[in-house]
Amino acid sequence: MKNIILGFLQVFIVVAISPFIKTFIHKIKCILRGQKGPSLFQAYKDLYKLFNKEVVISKDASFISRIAPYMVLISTLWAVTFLPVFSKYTLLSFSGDIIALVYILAFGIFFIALYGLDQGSAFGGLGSSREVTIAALAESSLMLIIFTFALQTGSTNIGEIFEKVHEIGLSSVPVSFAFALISLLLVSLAENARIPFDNPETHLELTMVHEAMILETSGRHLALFELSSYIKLAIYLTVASNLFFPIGFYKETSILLLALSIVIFLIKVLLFSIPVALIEMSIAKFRFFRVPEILTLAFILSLISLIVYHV
Amino acid sequence: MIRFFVEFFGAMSLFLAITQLSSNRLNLSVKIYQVQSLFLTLSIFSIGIATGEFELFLSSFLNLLIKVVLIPYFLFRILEKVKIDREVSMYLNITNSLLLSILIVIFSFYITNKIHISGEVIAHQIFPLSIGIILIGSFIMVVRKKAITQIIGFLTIENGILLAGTSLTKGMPMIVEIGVFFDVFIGVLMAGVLAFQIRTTVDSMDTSKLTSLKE
Repeated sequence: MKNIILGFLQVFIVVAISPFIKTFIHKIKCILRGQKGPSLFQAYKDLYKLFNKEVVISKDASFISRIAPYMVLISTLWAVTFLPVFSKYTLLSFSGDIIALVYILAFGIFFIALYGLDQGSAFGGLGSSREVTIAALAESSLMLIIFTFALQTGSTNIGEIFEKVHEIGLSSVPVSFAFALISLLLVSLAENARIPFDNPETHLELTMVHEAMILETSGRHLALFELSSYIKLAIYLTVASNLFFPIGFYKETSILLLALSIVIFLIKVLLFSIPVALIEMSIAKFRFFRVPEILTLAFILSLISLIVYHV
Repeated sequence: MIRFFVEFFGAMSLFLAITQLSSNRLNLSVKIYQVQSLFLTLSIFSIGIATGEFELFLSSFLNLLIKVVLIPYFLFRILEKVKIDREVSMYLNITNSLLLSILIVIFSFYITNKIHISGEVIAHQIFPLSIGIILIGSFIMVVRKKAITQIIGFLTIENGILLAGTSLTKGMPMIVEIGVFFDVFIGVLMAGVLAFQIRTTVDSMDTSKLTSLKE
């Protein structure tokens, strides 16, 4: 019973803070540019506004367009139920591991790509093809990073990996960790449509990737897509902060320590979102044909991290 | 804990050496070299904290002054004078050279696996890392065509040697170290002037075009 409550609490926390993280990154960027920026709760307001608007669907669109937003949100939420945030008791921890988490997220990408193709507009297919290219290239490096940690902890269950990492701490194989950290940074920038790979804030036909697929979306469906992209970013930040900054009371179950570890978790996530904002500030978006080269770099770094761990 | 920082900064230096292979702009290459030297400085500084030797602090300070400030400033000056011609040109494209760099890193880890280092060494992983930096530096010199990128390859090799030297032997004698820093600085100045001369004579910094020179 207690474990189920813990599981629901973790899902709730990830979903609840995800719009905040998005606005937090945006706010840092605005401050660095010398602008005032929106309030920190702008994303919640946007979502509320979008949820109250009606949906307009093209008359050529099939049933895919109706179900895809819900499927994307469901797959993201499903991934969150695997994800240990501050305790290893997640809702579905008995039935899946970190590999399942990666491929459930890929399930969401599949539906969003189908949605882009289904719209029948000129940009949808372009966006889908680019998104799938990036996702396919990024997936191998993500799997290799995961295998590094799975080898080290002797398990692919994500809860056990996090628990072991919190036990041994970082100081065992720093070289391997450094490469895995950089590689995970590159992969999560690519998968979450952040700036060197994609810029969701622009609507320029040459640069759109994520935005091109959901260009025709409106109202509630747009809100669902936005919410799932926020949650996805929160998932990557949670994985990164728990793997590379293992501080907190991961094993404890008393109420006070749990509250403390939630606070630590929030600080960790905000800390890990700062580099994302800094990178977005300092680099311009790459050409699309540069993307495979950078993802090759990510792949090589993850491979080195695996090898260095083994040697 | 200190071992963690030494190895982490060393690993970041190797990472930036690999990133050097993926850059396609000369400005970016120089910037990457600058950041790499910064991480090298941090690594030497951590070794200094671990051993408590004063000379290592001095060495890291000199490193900061010469490799993070002076040499990049000079290289940026050259790039400003050259104006056009900012693209890196290479014999092997970026993806392939990255894929070869993984072989280089595996090789350096493989060969150093057999060597047993005796004596008190702070961080064991540093040695394969610096061998990797040295080999990747020479790889940069081989696959890149432009004179400036070859200078950067040379500087990367030098960074690797310095990392290996300081981490294994707790630093060379001070007088030798100052001599080496001075040597590298003058070497880069001369190579920069030479690169600029190449540019004025053959109208490009491409060293492969030097073969077409006739009397």
